[in-house]
Formats: sequence, C-alpha cells, structure tokens
Amino acid sequence: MKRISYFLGLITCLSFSQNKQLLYGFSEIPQSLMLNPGGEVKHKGHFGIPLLSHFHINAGTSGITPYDLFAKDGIPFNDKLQHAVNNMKSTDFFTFNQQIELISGGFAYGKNYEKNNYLSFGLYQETDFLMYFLKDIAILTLDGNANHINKPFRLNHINFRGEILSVFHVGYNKKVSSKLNYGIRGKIYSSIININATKNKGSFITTEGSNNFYNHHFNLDLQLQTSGIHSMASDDSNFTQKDVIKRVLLGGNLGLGFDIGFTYQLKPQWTLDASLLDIGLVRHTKDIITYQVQGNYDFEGINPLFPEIDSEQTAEDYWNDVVQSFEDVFTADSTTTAYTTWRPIKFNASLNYAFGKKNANECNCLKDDVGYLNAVGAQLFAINRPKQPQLALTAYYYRRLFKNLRLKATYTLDSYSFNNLGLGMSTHFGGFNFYIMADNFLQYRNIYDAQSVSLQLGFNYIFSKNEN
Amino acid sequence: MMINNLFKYSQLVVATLFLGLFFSCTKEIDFNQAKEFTLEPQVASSLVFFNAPATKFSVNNTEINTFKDSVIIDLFSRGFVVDHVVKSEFVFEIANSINRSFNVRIDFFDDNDIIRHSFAITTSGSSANLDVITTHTEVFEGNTLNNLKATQKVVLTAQALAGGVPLNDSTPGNLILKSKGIFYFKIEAS
Repeated sequence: MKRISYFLGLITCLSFSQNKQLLYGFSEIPQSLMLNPGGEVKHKGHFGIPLLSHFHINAGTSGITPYDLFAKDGIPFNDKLQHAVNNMKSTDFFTFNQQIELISGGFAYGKNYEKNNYLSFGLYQETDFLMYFLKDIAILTLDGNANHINKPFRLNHINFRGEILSVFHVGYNKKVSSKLNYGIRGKIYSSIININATKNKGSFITTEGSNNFYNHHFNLDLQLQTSGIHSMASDDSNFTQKDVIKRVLLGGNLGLGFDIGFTYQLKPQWTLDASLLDIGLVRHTKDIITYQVQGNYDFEGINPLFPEIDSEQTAEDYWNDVVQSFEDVFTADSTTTAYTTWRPIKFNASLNYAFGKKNANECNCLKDDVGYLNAVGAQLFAINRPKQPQLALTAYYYRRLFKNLRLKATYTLDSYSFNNLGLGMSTHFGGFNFYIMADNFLQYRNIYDAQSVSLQLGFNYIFSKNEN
Repeated sequence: MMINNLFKYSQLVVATLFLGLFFSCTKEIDFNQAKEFTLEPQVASSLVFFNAPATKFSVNNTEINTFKDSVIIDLFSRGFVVDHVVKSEFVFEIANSINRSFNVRIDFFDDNDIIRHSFAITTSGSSANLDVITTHTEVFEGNTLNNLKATQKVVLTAQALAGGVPLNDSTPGNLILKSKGIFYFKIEAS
C-alpha cells in the first residue's frame, strides 16, 4: 500500500514529457518495438504481464511550474500569477500523456535455423491532452480591456485537444540481413472520448470609436468538436462502465494508422535507425456535438435620442436590436457533423556507436554472445502538434552490467528544459524482465519546479534466443 | 520462488532509483495561496452617444427644446455585476457648437419606477459655433453604486436651456455627446 502511495505521489507531483528517449532503441525490452517497429529483436518471443507490461505517464509544461506559483516565498499569489501570465507565450503548452498496455506479445517465426521474422501484437489504452497557454484570454480576464485599448485579444490562443482511445496493433519485423531490419505496425484506433478546439480564429479589440469614445469589435470564429462526451454528460444519460469497455473493444469512433521504422548497420560498430509512429486518423461519426460561435459585430454604444436612421424606431426597439445582435453573435450553434482528427505523428531517429567487447578470458564459457557492452549515441525526437512541432535531442550512454542488468543514461534538450538527465534500467532474471526509466533527475531536488519527467515501467516474460 | 526474488529485486531497484528523491523532492510550497486569488479586471465600455445638429431641435421652424427617451436596461442589475462590480465611473464628453446652452440629464430608475440616481451636465452656448467641450465624470461607489445596481431603466433628457436665440431650421452647430463606463470588478476565489 505504501508503495502504491509513493507511486501515486510520484505521478501527481511530477510532470513528464512525451518523449520516450530512454526506451527508444533499448532492444532488450520488447516494448522498444512500439517506438521502432523496425528495431532489432534479440529474443524469440515475449509476452507482457497483462496490465503491467507497459505503464507510461507524462505531463509537461513548457511555461510555469507549480513552484513558480505556489512557492512559500512571501510574494503575493496575484503578483506571481500576473508575472507568470506576462512571461509565458501563447506557444507555451501543457501536456498530459498516459499509456497502459492491456495485452502484448510477440514471437519469431521463419525457417528453423534462422527465425528472422517477428510478429508482435497487443492492445493499449492512451490518453493524450495538449493545451496551449491562453495568453490573451488570461490577460483579458486578469486585466480587462480598459488598459488595453487598441490591443487585439486573439482567439487563436484558445487551442487545445484531448483524446482517450484504445489501440489494437499488429507489427511485423523483418531481419533482411545482418545489417538491415525493417518493420511496420498496423493500428486500429477506437476513440473513447475526443475534444478538439484547434481551429479558433478571430479577435476582440477596443479601439477609438468614430461616434463614441470606443468601438468594440468582435470577430468570432470559434469551434469546439467533441465526440463520445454527449452520451456521458447528458442528463438522461444511462452510460455505464460496460459502454466504456465496449468502446475500448472497437465500439468507439474508429480510425486507422501505422508505424514504420528500420535499423541499419553502417559499419560493424555504427548503426542508424529511425521510425515514424501514429501516421493515422480517427473518423468521428458517433456521439458528436460540435459547438460553433461565429460572427462579426461592432459596438459603439447606444444612441437612444437621435438614432442615425430616421425611422419610427423607438429607443426600446433600438436597444432590443442591440441585444439581439449580441445574442446572434455570441450564441453557440451545435451541430452533429462528423469530423476527422489526425493522431500526433511522432518521429524518432538515432545514430549509435557500440564499443567494448567482453574479454574472452572473463567468459564463463556459456554461449553468451552479447556483443558490445557499451553504446553511445544521439537521438532525435519530434512530435507534430497543432501550432508547431515539439523537438527533443538526446545524447545517451548504454551499459550492460553483469548478466542481468542493462542501464541507459540520457541527457536531453527539449522545449521543457536544457538540463534533463534520465536513467533507465532493464533487469533480466531467467525469462523475467522488469524495466523502469525516468528522466529529469536534476529537477527532483524540487519536484514542484520540474517541467517534465517521463516515466515508463513494465514487466515482461521473454523467451531468449540462447535459451533451450 | 523466482517471482518472489523478482519482486524483491525490483523493490530494491525502485527504492534506489526513487528513495533519495522523495527525501529531497520539494521545497516549501503552499497550495492554500490559491485562496488569495483575486481577479480585478477593469472593463471599459462605450455607453450612450448622439450627434444632434441644431436643426433637430426644430420642427417647421418651431423650437422643440426637450428630447427625452428611456432605455429598459437590466445590465447593471445582473447577478454577476451586482456581485463583483466594486466601483464604476461614467465619463461624459459633450461638444457643443450651437449658440445655445444645453442641459443633459440622466436619471436611473429601479423596477418600481422610483428614481434612484440622477445627474445633469450643463454646457454653455458657443457664439462662434466652435466646439465648447464639457466633461463630466460620475463615480459610483458605496450607496450610489447600489443605486446603479438597482437600475432597470435609464432616462436620457437633452434640453435646450431658456435664453438665447430660438433654434430654427437653419441654426448652425451640433450637440455631440460621447460616454464610456469603466467597471472595476473584484472577483475573489474564496
């Protein structure tokens, strides 16, 4: 129980990044195939311990951290908030990502003496949420418009997306030669919930008016797409857990996608690999509500005594017209039109150099052909996001220690920070494999000030090649 | 046995990786500060305006010296405004280029049609038909603010004051009124 509470504490108080730089290329761990379907496979089969084979969570902020706001430093909270709002940009973001594997497995097949095909498969659930900082909206809310005459409050600052989905996947990995591996993984997405507000446009601005002190110009083009929420949230909802399970098992809004990747040995000690993940889309056709607010309106005040149009219009009519115009512009229309969302495409690549073979005289005479004991390399990660891609560059050192332990240390530069150190380990006892990896160790000195940390862990059973 | 060992081992691993972190993982932090959170936006809005040529005050060369109209307005008495507006200022600017003095009066009535607040702005005439600018700021605080928040109807009266040349269909000049309101909000978290 204590362990669980530590664990929950870790999840709650840390923030994490989407990049899985520690797991990428860690070929002893079967889940590394999820990051590169064309990765090297060093075993002849595996199965993940159901629900425990891969757990991943991350949340990240490129802007403020909880410590920036809640540090007990005597500075008034409002000042800190104002300072944070002023200092953050509209491209700063908050992310949350979580994955849990429900089932996973794989096996090698082919000719008896050289099983050079590997088929892996599974089902995992993923949550992905991204929100950009609503800078102009925050300023308008904090300050109002009175001290921001002539400043446009841009509505494209309202930009967020979120989804919960399950993913069925089957991957094929082929060892073409001792130098080249490639692989592809097909995916079926079943979206449980989706919200999407990434196409907002328009602005609100107060300028000097021609007939009055101010002209207030509203140009609104806002859209919020949702699927899977209406049936849960509506008052007469009879939504139950069963419905969630149904949606996980292909009963949600469906989509298709794939991953591709390769590993190529340039020279005996040099390898290059790369992968593209989640090239895919989800078509939302069920349980949809799209809210739209669209329109233009200029307001200079009301002119009850001498309306410009010399009509029979009374002041009352005039005022009612104003009210009606406001309502027309601001009332949200809801529709149920189907829509499509793209999954965030991820790109990984790395260049690796292996060195330090085990001395023959240290050999305990088992057929322990593990190759090199060390590796260093550089990895690049990119993920496609609504405003601009996020990038991360990692340098790593990999070390095999004893027979049972592999370690990897990383240093990563990304949108979150420039001082991200990570550490991962994979243990192998008989067929049992346990791995755990986390990054941003430097920020653990003050967890609330951490901008991102990623954590993955899991248990597998691996059938190794040299096992009889 | 194998599984037991495995769990023991992984416990050790988790401990070494994270134990140190939990002992030194935070600096002092106080989430209760969120209760201090206060929003104090200042919202500026245009209010009423008009631009009346002197000839508006004349029909068939006969002076009509008073224009009056009312607006039913529940804006000030809406819950959000009542709860969170702590002060308000109405700023008026009148530019008069008519050779006649005017009085602009604004009356605030509650839903029982009882007058709760009233003020008037007088502008002197402009013999040379150049703009004579008169400004006025009406501050609503305390009782006057409560009266504003009770308002359901605003009556606006523009009146040409007695004395001077009668206004007819060829009297030059304009009476121009502009106004804005600054609403000071205070929205507290607790």
